[in-house]
Amino acid sequence: MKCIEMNDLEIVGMNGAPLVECGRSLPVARRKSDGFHCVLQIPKDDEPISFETPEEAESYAATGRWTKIQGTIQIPRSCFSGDSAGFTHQPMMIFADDKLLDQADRLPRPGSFNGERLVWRRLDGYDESIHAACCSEETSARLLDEWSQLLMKRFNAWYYYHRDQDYLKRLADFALCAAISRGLRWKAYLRFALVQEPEKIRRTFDAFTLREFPDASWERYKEEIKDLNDFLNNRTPFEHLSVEKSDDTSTESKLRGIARVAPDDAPTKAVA
Amino acid sequence: MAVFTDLDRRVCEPPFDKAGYDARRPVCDDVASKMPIVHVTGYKRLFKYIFINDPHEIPPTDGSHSLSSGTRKAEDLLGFKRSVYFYAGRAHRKFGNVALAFFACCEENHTGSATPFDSGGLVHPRRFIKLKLDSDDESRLVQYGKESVLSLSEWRTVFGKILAAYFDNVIDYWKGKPNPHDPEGLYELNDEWRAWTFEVRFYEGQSIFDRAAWCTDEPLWNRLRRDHDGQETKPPGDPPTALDRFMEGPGLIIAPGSATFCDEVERWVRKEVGL
Amino acid sequence: MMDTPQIFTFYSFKGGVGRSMALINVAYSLASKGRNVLILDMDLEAPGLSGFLRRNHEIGEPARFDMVDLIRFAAELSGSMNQASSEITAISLPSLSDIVVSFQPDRRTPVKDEYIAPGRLDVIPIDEDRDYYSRLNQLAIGHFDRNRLIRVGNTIRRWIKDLGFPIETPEYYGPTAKRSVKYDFVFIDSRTGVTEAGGLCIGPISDRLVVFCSLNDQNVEGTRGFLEEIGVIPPRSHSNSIVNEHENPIPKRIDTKPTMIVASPVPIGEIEFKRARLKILESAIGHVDSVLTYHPRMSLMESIFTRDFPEEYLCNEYEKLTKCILDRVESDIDYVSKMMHQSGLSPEMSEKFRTFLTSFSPESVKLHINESDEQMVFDIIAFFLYKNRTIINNDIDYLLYDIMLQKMNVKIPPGIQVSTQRDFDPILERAENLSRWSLSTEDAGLHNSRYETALKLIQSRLDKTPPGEGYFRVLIHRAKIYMDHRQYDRAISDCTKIIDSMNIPSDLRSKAFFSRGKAHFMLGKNAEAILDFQKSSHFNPNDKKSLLFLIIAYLLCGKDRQAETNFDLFLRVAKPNDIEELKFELNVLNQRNPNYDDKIKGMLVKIDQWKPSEDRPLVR
Repeated sequence: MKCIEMNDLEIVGMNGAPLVECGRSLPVARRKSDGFHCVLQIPKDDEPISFETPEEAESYAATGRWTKIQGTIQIPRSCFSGDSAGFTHQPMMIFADDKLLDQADRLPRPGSFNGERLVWRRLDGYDESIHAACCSEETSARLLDEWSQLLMKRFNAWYYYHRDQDYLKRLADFALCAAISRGLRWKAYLRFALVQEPEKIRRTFDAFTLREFPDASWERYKEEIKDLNDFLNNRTPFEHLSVEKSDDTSTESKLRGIARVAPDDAPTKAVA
Repeated sequence: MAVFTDLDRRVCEPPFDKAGYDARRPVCDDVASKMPIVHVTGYKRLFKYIFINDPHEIPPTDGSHSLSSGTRKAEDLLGFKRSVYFYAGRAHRKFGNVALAFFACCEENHTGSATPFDSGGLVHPRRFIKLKLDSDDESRLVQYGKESVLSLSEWRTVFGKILAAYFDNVIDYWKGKPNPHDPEGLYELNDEWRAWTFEVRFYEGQSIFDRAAWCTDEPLWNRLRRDHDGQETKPPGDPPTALDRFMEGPGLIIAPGSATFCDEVERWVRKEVGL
Repeated sequence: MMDTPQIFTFYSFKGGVGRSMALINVAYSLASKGRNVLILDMDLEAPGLSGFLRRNHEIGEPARFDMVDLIRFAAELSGSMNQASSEITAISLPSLSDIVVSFQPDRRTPVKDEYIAPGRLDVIPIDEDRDYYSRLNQLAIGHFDRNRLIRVGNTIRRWIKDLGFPIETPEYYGPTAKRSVKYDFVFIDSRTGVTEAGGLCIGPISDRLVVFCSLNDQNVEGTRGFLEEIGVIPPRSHSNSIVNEHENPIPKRIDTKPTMIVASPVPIGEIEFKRARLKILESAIGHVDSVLTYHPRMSLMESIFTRDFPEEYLCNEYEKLTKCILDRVESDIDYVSKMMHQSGLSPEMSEKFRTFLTSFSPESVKLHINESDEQMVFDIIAFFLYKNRTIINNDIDYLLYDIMLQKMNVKIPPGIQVSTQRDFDPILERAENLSRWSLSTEDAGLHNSRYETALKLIQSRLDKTPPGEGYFRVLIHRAKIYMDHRQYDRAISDCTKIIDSMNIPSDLRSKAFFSRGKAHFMLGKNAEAILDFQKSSHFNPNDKKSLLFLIIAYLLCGKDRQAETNFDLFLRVAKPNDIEELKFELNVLNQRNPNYDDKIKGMLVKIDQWKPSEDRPLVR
């Protein structure tokens, strides 16, 4: 790659648009010295980065090809060595809607991950719950995978306990949006199928799952869905503890001394 | 004169290597004849316009959600009709988050033209192509542009010759740059690939269902899945929706979403042409 | 230290005593005092609170789940295990945004003190428009056995205790800043009477009870019986109906569930009779902590007095109840500790702070400030950090100091409460803290962000300060920040503006000459530096620092004789720490330029022979 002055670049947006609740995309960077913009991808084979004029950048943003962030973000330090030595890691924008992060129990948005600092910025023209940050490609994949795992964990618990179908579908959909690694995507597809309307499962399999997993077979897919259903139904996802039953039947007897029952989290008193 | 003007005669003289040219021609002609053409666009244009409107075609530049005003000016200057734009074998990520590749046979049903460079880069108000011309006037650029126009029926032949004449290796079309043997300096003064990539223009819309390969970025791939799932199930016998046809219709679909979806498409293109 | 959040159950044996409205009034009041409050409507069969909030547009659209769902989910979860861990509870019960509804911002009680940000005020209501009856039937709380009530209570309690909501933090805080906080108070509106739903509310779910009781016999007897049943007060030895105050002492409440008694509603007038009835109430169920008087407006239309009718007596009584609740859980020192805990402080600073805190008696601090508890807390912390600012070298300490300085920068007039220094200004101190903080990081983005914020603060102060001494005092701060960031030309420019101005005190002029001299010195312009150090010394003859740098500048210029003369002068008036500083600077100079080796060695020998002299002013 041709030498590029890293300190002369700042991130002002991302390629594409936040079409789902989380994901990643290439950053759009601006050269401070002349205001020209580029989609920042580490070029291979000594190819120069092509820069566009500020007016052209505006037109890309206006047609939804790029999405601007509010303010700017510095190129992550983890992505280059020295001020002009060039990229060592591909920088990547990661965006997330707080609605998804809340389900993943990852609110507030992390200030750092995998040793990289994350500066979150709102996206122009989008809901204030959506923010984007920039980090290395590796970190972006790990972070999204982490969210996907957390979402599937919640899915498992809710599938076992509560079975709110709409909510489960939302969780599985979120988990698919987040999952990057192949293993996690397969698991997320299975959960998505588990809570889909039966007539749609095959359609999604043919149009999407099969595109990502060309070796998968419909028969095997069906079997895995069934196995997952059995697994999630028949075994509590957590350590099983026996439940005590009481013989109290009248309301008065149930409430007797109940205000004196210490909560689980109360400090235990030493027994003499 | 254009990079291909009088090329058969020019390759016989230094600095061209005639023997090498002759040796490369068969491979280059083969690559040129097979070279898929690629169009990159954004979600809004694809979904808010193409999917919901019959006949589900990528529209020429007067369609909505296109980068039109500057492009239309360039078209007017060079005498092109409103066009759908493709690059021969290359995809530029700046145009959006979905890349669609089409086989050469798509050209048969179209009128249009081609140039051995990005025509907008030459005369667009935001031009980026540099040339050594005797004058910097716009009229001189326009003249150069017009000299470089090829018809749809002839561009692949010329493309094969250009690959053989200016590139030591065909792969340099993607990973290197041409030798600077043209007097106007198109290949000498420019480092950006759009200066040597053939641009193909159709004057009519191009059906998205004819795509040979396609790739999106990750968010768009997930959005497609969600939109697809959100469609109501139709009774048997009802015609499929445009999205159904797009997803399930014939044609190779490359991998799922990828931030480097343009690279994926180019990789597929190179494989298609045997590289 | 207070276990956050504190969960209060508001209970009444009978309805119509103003329990729900007291809850909502206290909640509004606490939120206006900066506390974060969550309300749970657990009056499952008669969700009056939710109805009121919806009818009056106090809250927005319902969330995906409501209180009935939460209890069902908790029951399902606790049906398979006796005790679910926090992690299991967190993922098995709804996330915050799926169940909590925020109060409309424009319906909130305005905060009285401008330096307090309003607290968060949320509710988990009951959504009566979404299959309410079928969901309630499905829940079948009446069939819960005692152990299940306890398990469900514990599960919801654990979920509540772990709830946190995100807060926006400025970018310059960096990645270690705290980004979420917990609720301070959770108020549960309980079912009346003796029911399983009521039992759930008063069981282990809550930390404290607030029991509402009117003065009539039916209410007093019923409440007493209930409190005995649930174990808040010991059972009576005999079963008299109405207790005679002379025969029975006020019953002592059992300590396991701290309980407040609120007499409500108490009629207006009938003073003697009312007093007698209150005594009967106290002898039946214990000390009455608060009294709420009947108000005709409340009987006609439920109202939020603490927001809409601040002049009414009932508002005053709600405020007293609020204070009573606050006093139960937050002593002043508790509150200081909580603030420190929430904001974070490094272990070293925490240790120092503990020592520092014990040197205060809360009463003396209150006398000194006498504004409000919050202000006192901010002042104590800020004062502590100000005193220790030179040893702050840790992100969380920098951050806390920044937060505390922000808390005080609107309210406190510069230099009055906190500082022993005349020119203390929280905004400028904040700018200097940010400047020092920016130098502590290797992250270029954070460095710039903090430095730019510091300069913006200074600029905001300059914009508000009319030309004159105050303006130039701000400029000298900026020059110092520029110096720290090696922006010497900018420092020189600011100092020159001060030097060129008329009618400024000599101490300020001296500082400006010294700073400019040092900037010249750092740029290698020793001749200019010497002139400035001389002037600085002239305007403040007791300033040994100028003399010190003058010596070094002379040395660098090769003016050894002048250096020696000033060196002897310096030795005559120096204190031990001045000598240490001179030694340090000479060693730095020696390392930078070995050519001065001999001269410096000579000076160091003299320094070793140096003995402290009598204290006297430096006059040449």
